[in-house]
Order: sequence, then structure tokens, then C-alpha cells
Amino acid sequence: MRLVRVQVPEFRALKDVDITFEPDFYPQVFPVGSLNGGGKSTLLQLIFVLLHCSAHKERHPFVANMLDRVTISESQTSSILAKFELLEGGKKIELEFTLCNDGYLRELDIDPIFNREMVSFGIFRRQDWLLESLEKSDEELEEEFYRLLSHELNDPESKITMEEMESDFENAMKEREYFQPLIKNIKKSLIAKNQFCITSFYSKQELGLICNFSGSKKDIKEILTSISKRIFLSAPSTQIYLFLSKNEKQQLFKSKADPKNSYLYQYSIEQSKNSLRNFLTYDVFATDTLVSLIETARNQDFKTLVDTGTNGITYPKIIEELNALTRDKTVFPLLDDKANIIGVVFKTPEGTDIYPEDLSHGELKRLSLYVWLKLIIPQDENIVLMDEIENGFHLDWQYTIVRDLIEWGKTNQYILATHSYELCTALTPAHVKEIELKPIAK
Amino acid sequence: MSLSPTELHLHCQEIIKLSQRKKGIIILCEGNINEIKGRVERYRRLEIFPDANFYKACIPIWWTEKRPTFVPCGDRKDVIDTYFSLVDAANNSDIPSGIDKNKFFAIIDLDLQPHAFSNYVVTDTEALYSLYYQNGKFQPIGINQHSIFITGLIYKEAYFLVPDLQPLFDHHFTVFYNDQPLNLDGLYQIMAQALSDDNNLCTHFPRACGRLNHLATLDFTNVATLQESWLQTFLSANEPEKSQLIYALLTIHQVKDYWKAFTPKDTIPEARFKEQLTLAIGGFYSRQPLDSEHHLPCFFKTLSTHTL
Ligand SMILES: Nc1ncnc2c1ncn2[C@@H]1O[C@H](COP(=O)(O)OP(=O)(O)OP(=O)(O)O)[C@@H](O)[C@H]1O
Ligand SMILES: [Mg+2]
Repeated sequence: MRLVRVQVPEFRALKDVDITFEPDFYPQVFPVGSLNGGGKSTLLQLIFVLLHCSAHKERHPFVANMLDRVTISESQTSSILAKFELLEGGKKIELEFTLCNDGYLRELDIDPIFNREMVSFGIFRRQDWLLESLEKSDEELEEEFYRLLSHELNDPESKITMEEMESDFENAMKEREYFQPLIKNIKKSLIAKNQFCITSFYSKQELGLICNFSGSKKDIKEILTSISKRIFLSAPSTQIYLFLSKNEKQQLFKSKADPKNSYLYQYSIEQSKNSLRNFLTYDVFATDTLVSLIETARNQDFKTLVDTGTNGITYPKIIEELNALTRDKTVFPLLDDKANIIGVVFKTPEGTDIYPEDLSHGELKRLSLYVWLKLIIPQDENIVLMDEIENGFHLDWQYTIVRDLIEWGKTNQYILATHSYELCTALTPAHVKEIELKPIAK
Repeated sequence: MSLSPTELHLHCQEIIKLSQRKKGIIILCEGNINEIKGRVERYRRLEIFPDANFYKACIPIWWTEKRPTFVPCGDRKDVIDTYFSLVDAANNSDIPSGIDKNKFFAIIDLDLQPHAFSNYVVTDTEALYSLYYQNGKFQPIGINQHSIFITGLIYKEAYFLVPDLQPLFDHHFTVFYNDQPLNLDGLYQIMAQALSDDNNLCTHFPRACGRLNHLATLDFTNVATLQESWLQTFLSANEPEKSQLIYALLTIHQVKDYWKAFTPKDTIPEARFKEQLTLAIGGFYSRQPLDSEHHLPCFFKTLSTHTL
């Protein structure tokens, strides 16, 4: 998968952004520059959230958080949020994400038997249940209800009465009876226009995020699902993540005197990673992965020894590669008394043992990127977005990181938000992209 | 176009400032003077890929600390002038200004036209060449006396055409020459056939021969006999001899036109293609082992022994 072009007409700090990442350039590493506040982080997060979350319902809250406070002006029914041009196996895919209000739905070709006032994105959001239930028969739903009911009745803490539950269920079924054909009708008219409703949310008004697609015969869900697997984001953990909820974001700015506050922000980030599978913060270092890498290399060499009578070279090669990641330290596996590998330790030239947590900021970041790119994410045509890549690296490493990235994940495309001139000199001027500052409103 | 005294002075001031900021050595090289430092957006606006970045891309991967900094200074004369001005500035500054002349090095193109030094340990560029290269091989001479390096091939561009690059031209970049996939062996023969039309070579013929006199099979009577004997020997040569002949050609013949004639197979604009190829060639040299005989890795190996 390659991201070939991204356009964002207007979103937060971004205005008339139109960037092309030439798929025939070598290497596929593109620095993106701007002044502070130019919108680099905003752009990377927007790309990531739209492409990683759209296909997955459990990730939709991140989309809603990202779009918090967006509005569509009174006179309009829709406005384009972002356009993407992607390449998958040589085939072009075009996606257009549009924000729409209820007016947009009401302009669709919808059966006049429905009350126009009822046509709203609100009904999509009204209950997840309502949407899910569309796929199920009445009998299935009833069965589900009685299972739930008996569960509630057996729960001594439960406050709800059986009568209340029954009347809720009846109302829901009535609502369903009315909305089911309406929602089907809306969906059908959207599909007829090659459109697909990703999610809906409330931001001063009922809004929906709709995706227009072309260039592929495949089903839109299938396309979005395959894109979501190929898009990655890495950034510092101290960054403001627009896809967290308002409360979570505010934790970052609460008094640092109370350690709980910064802890809470870090906790929210960690929580988000449970569903944002392709998101990495640079401070994470997967010791387990490194241990299993060393273990596999050792076993492979042992197998070579058994098979051929000569020692394999996988283990020394891995160790050599790991040694090159830190400035002057050498890596050793930590063994228990049965020679199981239980961790790694770094030795300084003076012979002092250092644990991963004692490494410098820059060393840890390199190590973490190495493990992530080389060992964790599949070696495939991924799109890897990286924010503030040069932070913590001295000038020499700012330059060599470009070569490292290519080395660690040869088939990836990298889009790097950066302020580093030094990094750019490892590439040609045409590789470097720029976000122009939005003009200051009068 | 050479630098005026004022431009030279300003340029040297910039370099001195840079040298105080950077830990490693500073190597002056040919190429358009652009900003030495700057912002990401400024780099983006450069019209062409700076020559200095080619050399930078060649820095061996084993050189991980205090990597050298390349500074473009204009043409060959400008590079030499800048080098001596910097040395002067270091010698003449009365305050202990922190200008360390041991930090400054230069690398220049050999060319066929010699450049005379007025006050250096060798008289001219040709003498410098003989010092650094014997029978086409790089000699690791003491760098404490010689801070000016010279290419062992006629121009930097000749390093874009060496035989070992064929796999790069075949796989990563599909390079075309005369609408055909580039075949270096064939190209060398085309080059040899053009020797008698190379005006520069005809003018400086004795000097060119001086560089090649280790090759007994060549006939140095005149350009035509050289051309003929080169082609004759090349066709029947065995591997080491063949490579010597190729390097001989790249030491005396105008190579830039051939490089200019390389074209991409794809839709990518030619200028973009060339600079990306240049970068990849730099990558090729940077990955050579420590005992490589390629001139540029040898040059870096020698440099790396210099301690500040
Ligand atoms: N709703 C909004 N409308 C317009 N601008 C906004 C909005 N919300 C935030 N901004 C502006 O967006 C900018 C933040 O953009 P972002 O963090 O993406 O910039 P950046 O290029 O990553 O900067 P840096 O280089 O400092 O990391 C800030 O200037 C902020 O004031
Ligand atoms: Mg930022």
C-alpha cells in the first residue's frame, strides 16, 4: 500500500493541504516540514485515524474525538474533510471523506413515506443496538432479551424491574420496526452514490462521516479493512493526541504537582493502544520481542549445528545488529541457570551492566523503532507515519535514521514529520514536502 | 565563475562558524554554494541535489560518530582558495579564536587541466594525483601533511559509472542509455570509440598518458593509437586487466556526457531520477567493507584515522 496523495481543504490548523508522495521515488521516505503549529502532527493523526479506524466499529470513538468541534456552515449540507489517493498492488484507490449534516440525508432519494424530520444521523447513533439489530431477526432478538432478563433477575444488585425491562424492549422493537426500513433506505441510496456512512456523532449538530470511493470493484468495507492493517503511526508519548477524549487530553495540562495527572494521560494512551493496533509511542520497548528474537536465532543456529555439524551464524549476526543500535554498548542475553533467556542486558565499555530502562532517550528510541519495524509489524507494503522522528537524536543519528528505517522495514513507505534539515539531506529536495502556514484570520 | 574576495571571505566566516558547531572534520568540496544550515523548507526549495550530499551519502556506515561534514564551495579553484583562506585565517588570528585548521580538508576533481598550488607541499593537482594514486590504486599516505584530496578518476561523475554498479542499474533503478537498458561493458566500448573526438583529451594528451603508463598494452603514440589499442586489449582482456582498462578510461575521458544521457524507464522526471540514482550510488559506496579498493571508501578510511 502506498499513500500517493492527501488533500485536506480545511481542518484545524490545516488549510488547502495537497501533498503528493511520488510512488516512483526512491527511497520511499518523505519528510514533511512546517513551522511550529503548521499542522504536521494534526495531519499525521488525521490520516492515521481516518485510515486505521474507519473499518472498525470499536475504533469509531477515536474518529469522533478527532472530529470534536468540527462544524458545517448553515448554508451547506456537506464539506470535504480529506481526500486520499492510494496504490494497492499497482491499483489506484480513491477515498473521499466527507462530513455531512442531516440536510444531506434529507436530499437523498428516500421513500416519501418516511417523515423527513425523522431522517437524521441521530438515528444511526440512537442506539448501537438499533443498527446491530438490523442484521438479526425478531426471534433472535427476543431470545437475546430473555437471556439478558434472566441475567438481570439473578443479579441482586440490579435496580431495574422486570416490567421496566419489558417495556423498554417493546419500545425498542417498535422503534426498530419504524427505523429498520428507513436505515436500509438511507444506506441503499448512499451505496447507489458509491458512498458509505462510516460513523455519526454529535458536535454542536448531528453529523455523519461519509466515505466516497472509486477505483476499485471491491466492497468498501473490504478496502477500508485492508488499508487499516497497512497504516501505522508512531510519535512521542508526550504529544497531544487529538483522537483521545476531551477529558483525557486535558489530563496533560493539569497540575504536574499531582503525579496522578500525567500518569492518567499515559494510561489513556496505553488504553487506546488496545484497539489502535498500529500505534506506537517511542518510549515503549518490547523486551519480550527482543528475547524471543535472540531465542529463535539461538535455536536456529543449534539446528544448523545438528543438521550440518557447523555452527550457524544467525545469533552473532543478530547480536552485531543490536550492538550497532547503541552508541558503545554490547548486548548480552540474560540467562537463568537452565540457560533460558529471561531478558537482555547491555554492557558499557567499562563492563557495567545496563538494563534497557537505563539507556539514553535516543538509544531507547532507536531500539524501540528497530524492534517495532523489524520484528513486530509485518514486512509488507506499509505506510508508516512518524512524528518528531529526530527528537532525542544528535545530528549524526538524524542523518542515519533514514538509512536505518529503510534497512529495518525495506518495503515500507515512511512519512516523517520533522524539523531536521540534517535528516532531509539524506534525501533529495524533491522528497521533502511542506505544509504552508494557514493565513491568520483577520 | 569564481568567488570574489568578499564572497570568499563571507563563505569562510560561515564555515568557521560551522566548524565550531560541528564535532567532526569539515571537508570542502565542489558544488553550488547553498546554505550550510537551514530549515526543512529551504532544503525543499533547492533546485538541484547538492554535490555535497552525494559525498555525504558515501560516508561509510561504520563511521558512526563525529561523521564528517561536507561543504560545497563552488568550482575547483574556489575549493582550493577557500581551503587556503581558512588555513590563513587560523594562522593569522591573534586571539585564540578556536579556529582549528586541522579540522579542514578538501576534495577536488582531478580533471585534465592542472591547477598549480602556490604554497603547498606539491606543485600542482597532477603531482597530488601521483601522490595519492599508484597504478590506479589509492595510497593511504599520511594525511597530516596532505589535507587536500583529489579524485582518482577524472571527475566525481566517473564514480557513477564503475563496473560494480551494474547490479544497481539493473535492479533498483532501471537505467536506460540510448533507449536500451544500460550495459556498462558496452558503454565503455562506446566511450573508447569516442576518445579521438575528446578535445580536452587531445589538448592534454601527454598528461593523460602520464596517468596510464602502468598499462603496458596501450599504445601512447597518439590518441588514435591509444583508442585502437584500448579497444583491442579490452576485447581479449581477462578480469583484472579489464577492470584496469575501464578505470584507465575513466581517468582520462570526459565522462559527464554519458552520465547526462542516462534516462529512466519510468515516468519519473529525468532530473529527479538522476538525483535519486546519485543518492543510491552514494549508498553503494557507504556499504563497502573496510578493505574495499574503491577510491571513495579508501579516502574515508584514511580520513577516519585523523584524530582531532
Ligand atoms: N480548531 C482549530 N482550528 C484552527 N487551528 C487549530 C485548532 N485547534 C488547534 N489549532 C492549531 O493547530 C496548531 C497545532 O498543530 P500541530 O500540533 O499539528 O502542529 P505541528 O506542525 O505538529 O507543530 P510542531 O512542529 O510544534 O509539532 C496550533 O497552532 C493550534 O493553535
Ligand atoms: Mg507536532
